[in-house]
Amino acid sequence: MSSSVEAITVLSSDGDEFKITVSAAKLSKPLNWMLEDVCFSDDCDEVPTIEVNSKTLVKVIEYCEKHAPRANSGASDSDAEELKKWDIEFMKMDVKDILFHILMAANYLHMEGLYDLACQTAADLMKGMTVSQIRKIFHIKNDFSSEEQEQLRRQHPGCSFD
Amino acid sequence: MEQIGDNPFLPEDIIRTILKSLPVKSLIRFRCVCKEWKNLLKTPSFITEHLHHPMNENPLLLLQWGHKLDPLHFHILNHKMQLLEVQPPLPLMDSSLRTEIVGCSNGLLCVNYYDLETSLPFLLLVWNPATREIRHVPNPIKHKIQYFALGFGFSPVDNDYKILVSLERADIDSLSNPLEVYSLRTGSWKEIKVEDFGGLGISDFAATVDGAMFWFGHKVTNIAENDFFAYDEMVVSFDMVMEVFTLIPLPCDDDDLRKSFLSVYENKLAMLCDTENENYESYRTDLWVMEEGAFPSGERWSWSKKYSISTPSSIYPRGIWLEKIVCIALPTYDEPEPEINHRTMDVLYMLNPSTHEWVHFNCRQVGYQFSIIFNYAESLMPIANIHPCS
Repeated sequence: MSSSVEAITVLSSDGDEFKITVSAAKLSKPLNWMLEDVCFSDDCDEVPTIEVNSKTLVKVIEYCEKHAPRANSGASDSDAEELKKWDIEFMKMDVKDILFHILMAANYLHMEGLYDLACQTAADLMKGMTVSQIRKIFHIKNDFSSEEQEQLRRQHPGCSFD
Repeated sequence: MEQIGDNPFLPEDIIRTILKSLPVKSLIRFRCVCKEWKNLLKTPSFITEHLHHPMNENPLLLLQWGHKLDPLHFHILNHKMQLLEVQPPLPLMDSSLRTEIVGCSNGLLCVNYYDLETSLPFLLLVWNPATREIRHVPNPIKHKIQYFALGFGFSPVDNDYKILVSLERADIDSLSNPLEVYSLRTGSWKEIKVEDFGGLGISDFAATVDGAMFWFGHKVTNIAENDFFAYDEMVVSFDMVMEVFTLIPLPCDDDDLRKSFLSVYENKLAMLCDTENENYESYRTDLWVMEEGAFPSGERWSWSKKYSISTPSSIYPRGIWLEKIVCIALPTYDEPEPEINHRTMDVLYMLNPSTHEWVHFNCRQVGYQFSIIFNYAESLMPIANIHPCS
């Protein structure tokens, strides 16, 4: 890899091109390996594909670019505090619609920070949900027979299957 | 705009990670989602991972009324300093009964119901307040009239919870009395033989660290002419795996240590002392930490004084919570107005030993005065089926 390269181009699973700075890409282990393996100089036209859809990749890159300076140089407490606030805002945006995609992407790209943040966000959203809401977002079918439901109700009075 | 229906199917390990960050209350509800979740939520490895999840790193402070006047009230203080009342495991069957917490480990509490007048035990149980599971502990083997719970704790080596009882009064001569241990895993009592400690008594409350229970121990060495007793003082430990007692010397200090409480600091046994100078004008709280190992001095134990903090008045450390020393003020005899005593007693003081900052927490709103504290984390820990380590 040429040290003059500051940003690389990657393809989303939808085939769209995205630019990501080298320092931001280093937040992901697989991307970092890619940087080492693939030639990114101008005369090399190979563009790596990341198996993440465009909408999700935009958010993932946004996260990486924000966190890269701190990850690469270490940060003061005030920076860390600022970043924490930014994370909360980041997760508040339309992320809810693509939260599970972000979880999958963070898992696939080995991005621990984003993965933990997305898991915690998912848990916070789920906390107050009913059982049927949970089944809906996770595509889960109620596989308890009516006898099993009855038995569970006896063991745990007040439990609800809806 | 993607809809909820477009959510991808999440692999099991991601679902597991999300579930680990949920509070017990939600997880109990989600047992009814499907069989796979129900089974996952009762897996011992999941329960342990959930207990040690960073979300649970802020333990709750479990407070117990310490003056035996109020029959059965427990409160929980969270790190946002919100005070919540905890419903007791069982309603009070008889107005002469009182409850006390024997110990607290991994979200399980050992609770003793006893008779106020005679202090005789009535019922001993293990309770998970978060899942509301209760297990009645049967009477000890040799139980005839009485027994006294000395401690309750988790033994990580054999993945078991144990209760230690003395069949006579705990404070005097207790380790010379018959002792029995209850194992939550086997569901049975076992007598334990100890060497004769001749007149060794131990304090009321045990601190549990890493599979061992610890108490202050005291032993009368001689009775002087003026009828004053002379005591040898030490820490007494009980190894829950080997089921043996060990006497540990206290640290040497220039001042006469006023040993207040044993607690846990950074996963080590900690001793809290409160001291006042001779003219009762200045007060100090010390935090000592004990380490076990082979030390160059040839000693098996090493005490180090981590902090020594001047305090504005005479306060009594009761334990450590979120790296802070939790203290109470007791009424002093020279305060004439009972009202003043009342006012000083319903305040908890949280002292940060590294910054010397104080936080006062006023319990007057609930009208209770707490004097016994436990670190408590909600958990899914089952009481009925404790599995051996695999």
